[in-house]
Amino acid sequence: MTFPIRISLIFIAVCVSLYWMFADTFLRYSQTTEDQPMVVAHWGDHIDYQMWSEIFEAFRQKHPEIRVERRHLPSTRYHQKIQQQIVSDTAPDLFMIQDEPFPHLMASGKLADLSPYLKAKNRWGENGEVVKGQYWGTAVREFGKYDLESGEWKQWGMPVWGGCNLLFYNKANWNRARIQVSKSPDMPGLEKSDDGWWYVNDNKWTLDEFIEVCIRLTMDLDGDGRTDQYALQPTGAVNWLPFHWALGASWLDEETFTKTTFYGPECEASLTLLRDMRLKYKVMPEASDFGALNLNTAFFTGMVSILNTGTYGLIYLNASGIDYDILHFPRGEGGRRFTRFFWEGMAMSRGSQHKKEAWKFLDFLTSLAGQRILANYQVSLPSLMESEPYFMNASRAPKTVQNVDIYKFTEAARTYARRQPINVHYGLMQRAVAKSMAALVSEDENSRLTPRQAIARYLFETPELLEKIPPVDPVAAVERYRSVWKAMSK
Amino acid sequence: MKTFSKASKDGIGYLFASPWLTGFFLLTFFPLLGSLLLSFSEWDGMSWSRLEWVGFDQYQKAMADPFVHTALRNTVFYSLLAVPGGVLVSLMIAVLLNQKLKGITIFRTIYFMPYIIGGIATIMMWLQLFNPDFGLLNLILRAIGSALENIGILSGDWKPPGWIYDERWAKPALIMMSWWGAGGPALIFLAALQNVPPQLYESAQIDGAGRIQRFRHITVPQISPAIFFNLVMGVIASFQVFNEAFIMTSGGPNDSTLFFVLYLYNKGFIDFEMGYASALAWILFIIILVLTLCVVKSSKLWVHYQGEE
Repeated sequence: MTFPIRISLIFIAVCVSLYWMFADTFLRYSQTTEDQPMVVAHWGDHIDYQMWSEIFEAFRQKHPEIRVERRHLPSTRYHQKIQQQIVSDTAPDLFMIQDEPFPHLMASGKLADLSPYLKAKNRWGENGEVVKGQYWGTAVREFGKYDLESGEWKQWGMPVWGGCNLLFYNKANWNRARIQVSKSPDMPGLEKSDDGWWYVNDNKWTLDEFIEVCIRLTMDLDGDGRTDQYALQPTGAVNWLPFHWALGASWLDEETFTKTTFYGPECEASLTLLRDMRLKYKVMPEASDFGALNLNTAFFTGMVSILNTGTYGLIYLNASGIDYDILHFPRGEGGRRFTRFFWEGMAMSRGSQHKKEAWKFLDFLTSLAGQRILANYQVSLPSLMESEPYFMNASRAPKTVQNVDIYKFTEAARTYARRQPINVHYGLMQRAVAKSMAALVSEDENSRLTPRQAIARYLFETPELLEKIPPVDPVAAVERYRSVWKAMSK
Repeated sequence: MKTFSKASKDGIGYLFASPWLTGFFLLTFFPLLGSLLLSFSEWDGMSWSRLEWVGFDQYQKAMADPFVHTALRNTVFYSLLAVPGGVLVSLMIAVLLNQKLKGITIFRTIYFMPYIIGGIATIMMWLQLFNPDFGLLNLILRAIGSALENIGILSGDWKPPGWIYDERWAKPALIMMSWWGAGGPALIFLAALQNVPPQLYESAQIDGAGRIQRFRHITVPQISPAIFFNLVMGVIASFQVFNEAFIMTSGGPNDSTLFFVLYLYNKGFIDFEMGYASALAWILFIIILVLTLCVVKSSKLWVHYQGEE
């Protein structure tokens, strides 16, 4: 081969390689804003995918002039991916986001203010009262805040769906333990009948009665001395909140959500109950017994009899065909009961070049037309209250399970669901609470902590946390736990 | 024939080196410098206007951060067992692969294969193996356990380890897993073993040395440069352990696999404390540098190069 031919071939090969490597990038960046479609990101599994397909299709029919690119990301580490895109200014025009990281994002300056769009649609009022009244409980509030400069409420995201935690129970497990849920509202919280069966009235049951039920549900089925059926799954920090609140404890002060209340006798009582559930009554499996099972699988297989989870559990359980139903949380101090609200919403990138189109999508998704589709799939409770009847009927949800008391979710949302303690330092606080709680029930006896030690660790182990979320009463906190921490540190 | 001046020759040299130099400066040197500057600042990555110079505050914060202590403890524990264990396992494999057997090349391929497969595929496989309920490891252990129960050696409440789901077993599980890649270092040992002059073994044998004595007094000193190399590489890699913990355990249970780089990643890309994460990265760099220097310094005492006095 002659020299010029060889050089020409190399040149062609280099050009082809460069084209293969960079053509897509050049094409993308050479497009004008008008050429590019609006990008909307969401997470979810196959059922969510199907539901979102229907939403996108309905939107395209309503707005055929708007080009939308759908970006479906796997649920695993979705929020990390989206937040990294936000930081690098490559976030989609619209993206689904949970309430937990939202205060941090609101403070980032990377989100578009949605208030002007809501005002233009006459959905605002004085300080967003109109929109706040249209959605469930705390939903709208989780995605907005008062602007310190103007003193006005600003909306940085719109709630899409969410709901609250309740207790799902596996009927087969309950039957094995000869326990049933009574349909009679006059019955006490727990009563043994003449036929030897126990009957639960979940509108009245107390924490003590709940523990009694848990003990009965924990069974060695094959007589080999090992527990085969547990009452509850190992419960992490957030899912423990309903019990924590029921005992009069909390994570943050209710007024400002800026100071910690994770200490004191009520908090100790809550942590003691958690520890007892695992170590004294042994109604929860150890983490290693639970192993690689996820919560739903443990519930399907009958390993745990009660699943403490959110509305999003419905979709998996409905598809599974398992015979289950739903229970209210038990009542604690003073007969009060609580559950936590959680919300997932959609926000718009501040740098979006398609803000008008993005707002049209968001407006559609959070209006009855969009919320009906979500409601019909029953993936979670749609945030718009008007869509409640569609959620109850759920025409598109898998129909393998019958007669589930689905209304309990809206009943709990109306009567006793409580705002989750989320603030701008939520991640730091949640990890510290989770770490302290995990140490309470550690399988390694040497690293297991008492409730007082766990609280002392939470308060004093991370100076950054103490600085960012100080105790509501620092003197009381120091007096009660400093010596415990000093003894631990030795 | 046309000749080039020295300047032209240098220019051509730099031209040929330019792709690498561009890559080095753009992707390594400047980011390195950037991270050093960031380590003296507080920045959430959102906007340059939010960057604040804080001097050595991030380093002081790291000294007081209990999670740094936990992460460092976990990493040192991992390194102390994974590195010497890895060297030992790979040396044993190399000795086996150095036998003059029929079809030995097939065995060499088999042992080397896990090293090149690596990454996520291997991690997914280990996730299955470590599954406490239906993983292969516990299936075998359960079978052995019930046999031992039957003959009364084990009590009835015995249960196999929870591996990565049990804080007592999570680190040992990941250490065991690290030995899976022993095929790579084994290849280096194999090359070193094949370079040991056979006459040394012959004369030792004539002098009456047994197998163990020959291994200890001839093989080990002769392959000590390879041991040294694998040790240095092992220390560096073990302090950067990340993938396994990130994918398999997310640092749990109960922070038992919260390794240093995982914590650094969490601070940088979950909490968006870029300044603090940069400071942690430089602390890790210093730790690795000091340890590597210690190994290099100690090598004068135990590494023997041919031709040395």
